[in-house]
Amino acid sequence: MTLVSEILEITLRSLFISGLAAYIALLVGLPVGVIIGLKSFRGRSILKGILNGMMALPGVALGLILYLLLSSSGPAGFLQLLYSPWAIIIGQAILIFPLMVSLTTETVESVNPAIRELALTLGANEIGANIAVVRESLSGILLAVSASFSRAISELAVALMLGGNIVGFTRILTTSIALETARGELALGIGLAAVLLVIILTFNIGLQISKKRVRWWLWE
Amino acid sequence: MGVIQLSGIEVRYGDIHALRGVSLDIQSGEILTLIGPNGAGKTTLLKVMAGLIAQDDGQMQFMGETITDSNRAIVRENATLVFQRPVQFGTTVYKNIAYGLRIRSLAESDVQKRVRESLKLVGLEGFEDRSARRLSGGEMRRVSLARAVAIEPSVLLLDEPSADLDPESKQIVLEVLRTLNKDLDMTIVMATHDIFRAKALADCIAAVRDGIIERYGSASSIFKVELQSQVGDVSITNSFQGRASRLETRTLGWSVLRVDLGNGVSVDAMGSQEGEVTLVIPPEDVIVSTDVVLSSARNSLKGKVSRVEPSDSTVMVTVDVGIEILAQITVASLKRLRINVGDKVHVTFKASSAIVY
Amino acid sequence: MKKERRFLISILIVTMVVVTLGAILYTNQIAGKQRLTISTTTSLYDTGVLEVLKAEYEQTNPEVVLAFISAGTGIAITHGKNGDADLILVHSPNQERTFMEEGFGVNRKVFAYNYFTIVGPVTDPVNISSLNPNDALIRIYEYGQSHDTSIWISRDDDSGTNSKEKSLWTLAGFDYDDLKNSNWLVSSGAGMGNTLRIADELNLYTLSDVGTFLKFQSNDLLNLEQHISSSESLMNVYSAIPVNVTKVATARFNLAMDFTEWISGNIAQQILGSFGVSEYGQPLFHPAVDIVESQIPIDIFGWIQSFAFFEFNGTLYECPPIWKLSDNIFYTNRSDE
Repeated sequence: MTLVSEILEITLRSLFISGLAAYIALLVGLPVGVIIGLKSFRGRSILKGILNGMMALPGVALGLILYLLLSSSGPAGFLQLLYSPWAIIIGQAILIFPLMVSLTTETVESVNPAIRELALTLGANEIGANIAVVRESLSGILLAVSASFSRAISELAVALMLGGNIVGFTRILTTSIALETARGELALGIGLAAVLLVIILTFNIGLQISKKRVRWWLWE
Repeated sequence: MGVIQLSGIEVRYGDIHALRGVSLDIQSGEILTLIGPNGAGKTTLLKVMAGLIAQDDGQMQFMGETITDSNRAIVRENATLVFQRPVQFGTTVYKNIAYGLRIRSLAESDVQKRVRESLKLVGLEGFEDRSARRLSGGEMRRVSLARAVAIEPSVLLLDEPSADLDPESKQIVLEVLRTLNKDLDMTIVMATHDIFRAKALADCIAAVRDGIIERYGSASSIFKVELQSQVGDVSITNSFQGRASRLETRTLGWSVLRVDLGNGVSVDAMGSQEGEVTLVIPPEDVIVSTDVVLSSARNSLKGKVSRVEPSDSTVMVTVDVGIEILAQITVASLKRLRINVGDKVHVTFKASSAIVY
Repeated sequence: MKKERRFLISILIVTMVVVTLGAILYTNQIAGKQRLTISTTTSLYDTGVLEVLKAEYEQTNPEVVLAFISAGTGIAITHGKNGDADLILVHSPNQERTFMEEGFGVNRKVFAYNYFTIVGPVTDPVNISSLNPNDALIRIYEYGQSHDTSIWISRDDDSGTNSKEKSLWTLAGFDYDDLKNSNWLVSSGAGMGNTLRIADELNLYTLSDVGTFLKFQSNDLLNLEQHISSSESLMNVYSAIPVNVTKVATARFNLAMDFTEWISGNIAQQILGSFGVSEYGQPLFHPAVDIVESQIPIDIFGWIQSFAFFEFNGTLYECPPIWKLSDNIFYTNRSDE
């Protein structure tokens, strides 16, 4: 395998793993964040506090907990997920989930409550009114998505402990950078780091640019 | 048949008892104005009528149906509320107005037509593609009005629709509402501070204070009582009869009128009627000066001070210019101008402050 | 609701694209193949020799995929106990013995050896170049005690290298745990590469495996030099230990045995013996299987025996019989008599 094709393979794998993790976090976290942001219920502040705290969960801590769970000798060992891409995906998804929810909640809460009333008085039902609020918080939600994806793809500890950095299988950008640096191949490590940065920048810039388009399209 | 009936409506926000037993019977095609100070409960009452708030006690009938939590949607689909502070969706003016129409599954061609018509009605033709949030305050208000009008509700509710507007825009709003009521038989319920325009437009006035309706009746009767309770015991209401003839025609169907009030007094006003009319001038729009003021106001009359009545922080000065005109000035202004009974003064006011109906 | 439907459709499309991509990548990797998970010491992995072995092995065994996890000897042992690895490649006889005593490992096979080396600043302030490891450590100790400066760095991470270091200190008459409290001893808690970097930065001495050191030195990274190498006490022996399937049911024992046999075979041993020559001018490893079998050369065999064999009932074994799962002829049963 040539160097370029190897970098390519690692990059694609990183994108797939973190992309899927971010996607899962989005599918589950967005509705949860919207619900928490819009509805008031007992224990809401406590829940928000917990989620805010978990945003700062260190990857090593989460990696260790999940390792113990997924290990062959652990309660979920029978799934045989450890040291496969799926373990990394699960780990990253769990890691970024609080981030996704918290940012979504914040942004939904910051929408003028009059928007919801406006939608209602123009004839929308409950769901329609909530959708109108979500539409208005679009830029905040996009921020949540990009922050979550960036965090996922930049995470090292989770990927290392749950994936094992196995060649051709669970080796991704962050683990490769760590490995090559530990091995002394600084040039390659820097190259991989550059690729990672380019990915993150492109993703975020692309998201910013498409913000207008997406909002326009959503309003059609 | 009454379109909205309220009996014993109570609404509480925690410790605050916003509505303490409100009962109203609003007829179809009627224009009802709610007047009262801030915090009286006008906004809450409007929201109840719009189906946005569920009452804690009491009954509400809407178009013959008793409204409960399960069928409140009927109210929202047939009544719409224009908020006191304009709120826009973060998109174009067109899409803001189209929102309600699309919810009602109108064909796109009909949507286009209605958007265009409603923009024309409020004088914002060509504004379709403007970003709704980048408009001036007055323009946003008109977009909100157009948005409500476009869906052709059975009941149109407005919370201070002309607050913070310049007199011309106030007049436009008035005319629009008048047209809607006349052409479409739309029931209109409006909360306002402006008792003068309330008198000009409404059929009935309800005075709201501290969560209950203190007074209710025809516009002219309530107007007099309200004015007196607001400005002290005066018999002058700045309400005159006269004959109006068109001077200049402006856009949107209204014109500058010259109204002959008798005694050699004629006033330039804004309105759409000609012939026998009633004219009302809000006292706070009248400027008193010791010299002639060269200004853009069309009306400048000379006269003598016949009465000076202080009340709270304002002073009501009555000036005889052939007819007796009431002007409201501050205590400080009184001191500064050193006005006494018998002094010769000028009174000045804009044509748009002279309300004709 | 037209808008809602279009939105949902686009969500579906994105989902399908992502999942398809992933499924393709995944199945490409392991379609129909069996996976042997091998947890290894970092010093073996970092040299890159395992990648060469993997390529060769998978070529002749296309239905198997080797998955190497390189996290260190200590972690490899944990993996073995947890069943997260089917085979471990390590170089720490004490820990290996405990691993097998506790029943987790069977059929141990010594397959390669090299030497540790004591490296330090080129200027050699402590002047240990002519000494044997024992005296060198004593002198470093004295230097550290008398000068108020750091002079030695230890990995302190339960790695094979660290184990070796500890035993060397013990041989020189010191207690490693006591030494850790000294001002002159720095604990890095890191892998070999990073430890070497720190040593380079702060002008410290340390114990290193030869492979990592040569690799780093060739990249012009270090201002260090090997001061002592190729001595009996610096012997470094690598062994492969399959996980005991009777104790850890999920272990892929047959695959592990297959690989262990292969790494003891001629092809693998040759690869091991020639790895690194072209780049560094010297091989990074020496094949051990022949030496263990034929006991020639005598001195090297003697070293391997004394450092890496286990004593059991008075006899030194590569793998004591009670810790064998199948009767395999490629284990030496000979005693050292």
